[in-house]
Amino acid sequence: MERSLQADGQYRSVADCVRSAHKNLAEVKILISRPTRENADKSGDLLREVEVQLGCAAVFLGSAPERPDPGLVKEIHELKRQTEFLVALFGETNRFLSAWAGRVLVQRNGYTERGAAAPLFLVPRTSAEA
Amino acid sequence: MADLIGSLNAASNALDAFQQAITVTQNNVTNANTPGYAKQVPVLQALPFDQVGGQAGGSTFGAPQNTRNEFAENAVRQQTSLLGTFQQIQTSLQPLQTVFDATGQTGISKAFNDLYSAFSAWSTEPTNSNTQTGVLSAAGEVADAFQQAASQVNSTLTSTNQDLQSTVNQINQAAQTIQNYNIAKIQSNTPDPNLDANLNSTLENLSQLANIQVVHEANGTVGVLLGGQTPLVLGNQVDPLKVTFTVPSNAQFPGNPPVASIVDSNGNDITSEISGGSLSGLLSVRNGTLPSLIGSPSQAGNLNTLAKSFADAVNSTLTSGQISTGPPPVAGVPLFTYGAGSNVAASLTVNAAITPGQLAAIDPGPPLVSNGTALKLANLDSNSTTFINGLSFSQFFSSLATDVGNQISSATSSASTQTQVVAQAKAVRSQLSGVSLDEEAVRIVQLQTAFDAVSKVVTVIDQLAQTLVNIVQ
Repeated sequence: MERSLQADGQYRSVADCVRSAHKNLAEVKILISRPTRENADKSGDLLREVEVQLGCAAVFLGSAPERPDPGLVKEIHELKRQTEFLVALFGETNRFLSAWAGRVLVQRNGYTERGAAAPLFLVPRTSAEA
Repeated sequence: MADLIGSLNAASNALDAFQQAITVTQNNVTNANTPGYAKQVPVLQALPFDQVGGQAGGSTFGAPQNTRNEFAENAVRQQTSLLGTFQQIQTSLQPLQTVFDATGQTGISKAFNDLYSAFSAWSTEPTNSNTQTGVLSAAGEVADAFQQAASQVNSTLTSTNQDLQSTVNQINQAAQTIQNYNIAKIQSNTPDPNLDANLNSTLENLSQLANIQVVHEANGTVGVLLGGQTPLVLGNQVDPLKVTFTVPSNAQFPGNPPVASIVDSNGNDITSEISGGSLSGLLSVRNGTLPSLIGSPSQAGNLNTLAKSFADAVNSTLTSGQISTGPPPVAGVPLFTYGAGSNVAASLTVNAAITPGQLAAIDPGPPLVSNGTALKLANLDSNSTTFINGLSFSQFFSSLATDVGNQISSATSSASTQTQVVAQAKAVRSQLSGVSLDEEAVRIVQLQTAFDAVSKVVTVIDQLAQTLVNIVQ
């Protein structure tokens, strides 16, 4: 019923892909509960992996001759709920962060001529050597 | 279904935790300039994960922890306490600087020089009414200078008494604020950053007033000990201080200003425990510097000693001389008078009954010298028999003026140094517990950028998941 992925041998079946994606999304959920840049970066890496896993699953499913078993369908629906939750969470996070950053930047830098918070320019790390 | 609810719960907890973390940072930013505020750090706690038992894991928001560093707080309080002492001494003694001028340009020093010059002029023309009037006039200047100095010291004493009372009132008010904090802590042990900020601001203000030691109790309350010994606040109990002014029953000079003491709520004298803050500075001026000038129940006061010694030396020289040789010879009369008590400087005046012609210039000798008394008075400052503690009158006054000047100068330079030390202590504390808007701004912008990028990936993933759902439907 399930088809193995022969190309690189990493994901052998749809179930493999979906379960790995599940695991990665659960880790992302834990990571973003600690709002740090490092955790956001780690989450980004994991989500790109999930992107590949879901792409593979879609390819497997599209080329499969019969419908997947009910257990796998249930897992795919659960995965969809997880991604919906993350979309909502990141949407809320962005909304909070925008308002929050605006408030801090106004307090720190003042306003632009158009009334928005003056931007903060982050300079990449530099080094000076003789 | 249980899985779905569990998953939603975990997601909801994570969202709540995140939201509270944002609230903590917002609070940090809002309170960046609040005195006594220490940065709060969000603490996220992992929830137990047990799929069989229905525990979905995730994270939740624990009590925020502030980054207050008690060592840094204590260092700031100790340095602030010392600064308070120096600033108070400087402020309290400043008004005396003009009357205790050691340069000889003003005040008692100048009046002495003018009187010696007048005696000298009179000795050259002892019967000349102008030189005689000159002596009376210059003697009047000396009396006025002593009165002004005494008046200024007394006025400083009065204002120091008022400052003592007001400082003790402020200490008692701060103790009450801390008591209220403790009561709130006993009623609810939930961390409240604003209450904490208020407490630490109050403790810092209190350390400016007195040397305190802060003890953190296990129940979250703070105890404040004055001088490390006397309880000012313990839990919900306050022991207010009082200022008392007492003259001991066996006082040698009962008419002099009383001694100021600080007593605890049981009436125990705790003055010796006050070694820091403006209260210490006030006590040092009130019970040290000022009594050394105008006296206390146990001492006459150097200004009074000088006034009395000088007046007595001039009077005894004049009364041992003669206005005329007669017959019968007419004895001299005193030039100065002063009150019966020990406040000689304040009551020193020129004898109202003396006339220019009654100045006794003749030293009967033997041998008789017609301007002998006037000459003795012109050289009074070098007559070792009249010296006080081995110093002439001018030197003795100079030593008083120098002493006052040194105290002001020392307090001024110490206050200046201590201001830097306090600034450093506050900077260290700020690094440990303060809120930096720069740090917050950079952190938030970095977070925003990172989350914005990730949220784009999440949207793509959600679309892919929808594709999978469409395929399996």
